[in-house]
Amino acid sequence: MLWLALRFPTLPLDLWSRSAATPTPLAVSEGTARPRIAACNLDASLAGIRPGMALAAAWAVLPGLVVRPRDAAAETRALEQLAGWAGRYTPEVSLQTPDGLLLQLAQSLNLFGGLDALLREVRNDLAALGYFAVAATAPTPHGAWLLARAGQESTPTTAAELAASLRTLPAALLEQPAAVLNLLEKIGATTLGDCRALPRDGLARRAGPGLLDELDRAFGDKADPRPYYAPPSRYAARLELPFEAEYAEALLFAARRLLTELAGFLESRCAGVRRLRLGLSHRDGDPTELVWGLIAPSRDLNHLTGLLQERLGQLELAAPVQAIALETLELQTMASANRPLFDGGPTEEGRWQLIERLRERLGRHAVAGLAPHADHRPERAWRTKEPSIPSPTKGAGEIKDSGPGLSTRNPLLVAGAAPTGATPRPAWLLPAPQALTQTAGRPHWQGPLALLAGPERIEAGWWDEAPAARDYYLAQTPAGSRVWVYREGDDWFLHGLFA
Amino acid sequence: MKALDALLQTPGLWRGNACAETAQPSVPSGYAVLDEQLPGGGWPTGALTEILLEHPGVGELRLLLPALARLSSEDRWLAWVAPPYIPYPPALAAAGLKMERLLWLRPDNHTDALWALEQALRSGACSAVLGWPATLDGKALRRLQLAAEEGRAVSLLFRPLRTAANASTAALRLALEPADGRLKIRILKRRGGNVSAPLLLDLPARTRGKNGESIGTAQASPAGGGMRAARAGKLRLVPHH
Repeated sequence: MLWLALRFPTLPLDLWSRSAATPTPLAVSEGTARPRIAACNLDASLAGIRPGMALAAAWAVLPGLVVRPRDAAAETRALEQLAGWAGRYTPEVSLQTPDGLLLQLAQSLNLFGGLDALLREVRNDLAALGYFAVAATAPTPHGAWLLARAGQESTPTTAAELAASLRTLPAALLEQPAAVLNLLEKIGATTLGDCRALPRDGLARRAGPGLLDELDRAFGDKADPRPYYAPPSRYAARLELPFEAEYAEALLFAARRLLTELAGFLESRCAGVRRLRLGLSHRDGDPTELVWGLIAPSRDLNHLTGLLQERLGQLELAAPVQAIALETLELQTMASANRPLFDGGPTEEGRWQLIERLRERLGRHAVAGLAPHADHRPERAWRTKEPSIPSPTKGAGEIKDSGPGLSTRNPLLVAGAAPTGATPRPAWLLPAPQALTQTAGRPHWQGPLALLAGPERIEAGWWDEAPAARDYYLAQTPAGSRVWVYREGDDWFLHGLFA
Repeated sequence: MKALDALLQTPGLWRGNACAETAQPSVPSGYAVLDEQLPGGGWPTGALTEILLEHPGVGELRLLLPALARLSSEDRWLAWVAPPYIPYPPALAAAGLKMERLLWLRPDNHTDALWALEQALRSGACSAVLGWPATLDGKALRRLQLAAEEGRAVSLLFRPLRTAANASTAALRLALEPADGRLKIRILKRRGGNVSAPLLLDLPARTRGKNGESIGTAQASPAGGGMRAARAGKLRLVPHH
């Protein structure tokens, strides 16, 4: 067994400061009648603020100090969110309330490339989440926890190394009632090593069984099973902003904190998100809601951030935002690794990400696929469709391009047969036929046109509202470009360019 | 996967795809006479190619279709960003292009068009990116060039002939002019080579005909279609009648 203990000593502060892009003096207060500073950040302490100060005194020292009341429930929620994120490293995550997590890592080391690489990734993640943590590993959960509490980021791996590390820790770290800690101090047992050296019988008699139990669990002499955190089936988190945000772009920083958490949550569930909602709370009125639908499930932090960024960049805020809430509306199971074996071709995920990114900015209809359509009328012989690339791995056949409306609209046509079979079609089609001027019956476009081939009579649409009877010709401009023109009655039209 | 990452970072490890990457593979144009003139024997990937023409419709698509058809067998997109007209599916499909690979982008304005072009070039999710930017200054061109280097697509910009006089970071610049049903190509710039004499290409009226018949003076390309022929490297120009 290998346990990673993460202790969040500044959790009450981090709750608030993590959503602010620029650090400002910030403190958390405790007590309602005569509130006192419970904790403050570096900027506040540099200005002379100290924990324990009366709030009034603190404001006297630093009038601009932002103070938020301590919120134990929010701290617990944050810890649970962190446990959800930690699920990306191991399914065995245990809450160590009020300010810690324990992760059992033995089975995860190979996956993440060893302990050092894993710890590096944990640190990067925590920085992205906006939390500060002390991290220590040990073969026992309580041993790791005591090391983290002592602020020792050591990584003993054997029982002997663990015992050596633990022996030097102060006895005051033990999670025992004050009476027991006082007793230890009185008998001169200042370190865990001192405690271990005392006769067990006498210690049990005087301090009660709890002390020996704790020491035995820490040193690994006694089993210490932990309940594992079961993450909820969906992700939903809220982040209060320390200041009201007036510009949507300012929300991106805070949103990315939540997205990082979400990415860990999704990875632990082997899932990707299909629909996502971001709620922006205002002081008055209903929250602004933004919903994203993804073509393919994703848990790629950069992709999700990019989608939010595009939308937030376009958003005009009706009122300043006090808090943001991120929630998954639809999840879908997703293969655990989408990394290409060698960084050669794009992943299937990458192809959809491009579409989603483009659509987020250009609009859904500005990004389309194209397909031929069985209709004699050239302007109807095509249609837009949803972009689709059949996955080669599934060995699926080609997507049927000719739409389902075919058989009902025109019983005479077979899909794909007539319109492309007869004569060449131009690669550029004009959005609408362009009427041409004439001299002596000769159509003009960039000069008088020479008819090279034709006519191809196209009569179609007599069965519906848009009949057409046209004679199409291949024509050439004086400069040598080839174009597709038709005559309808006495009028000439340009319909395409043989590009 | 993490273990593999660590392994891939080992300096002594030879990676099979490394050499292909540095060589920047090019895609045969399907016209042997043209390929002989192009460094790498085809359309470059991972660098900009500028196609300069007076008006759309001189034959620029028929020039490119054999390569595009070939690229459409990859499972990446062929992105068309702000084309001047509708890329007509019956004609493109008849040329052997797999239509489901085609992505038709219609941005509202020039800024969005440049943005979309850059995204498509950079993404690595496109085998070819074709762009018709309204205007392009030197800064925008450099941005697109960087994006092209990252994404490794055949990166084609269609620009007015009058921009030929401007300096460009593009690796390849061709000027196209119609010439009585044929296509005159002048190579204005290419890597590692000087300007050559203009080429005169016969463009097939369609690269793959169903029943072999054709109208006008142009003829269908060799049987089997441009794509297969291009892959075999055997495509020859159709003699002009």
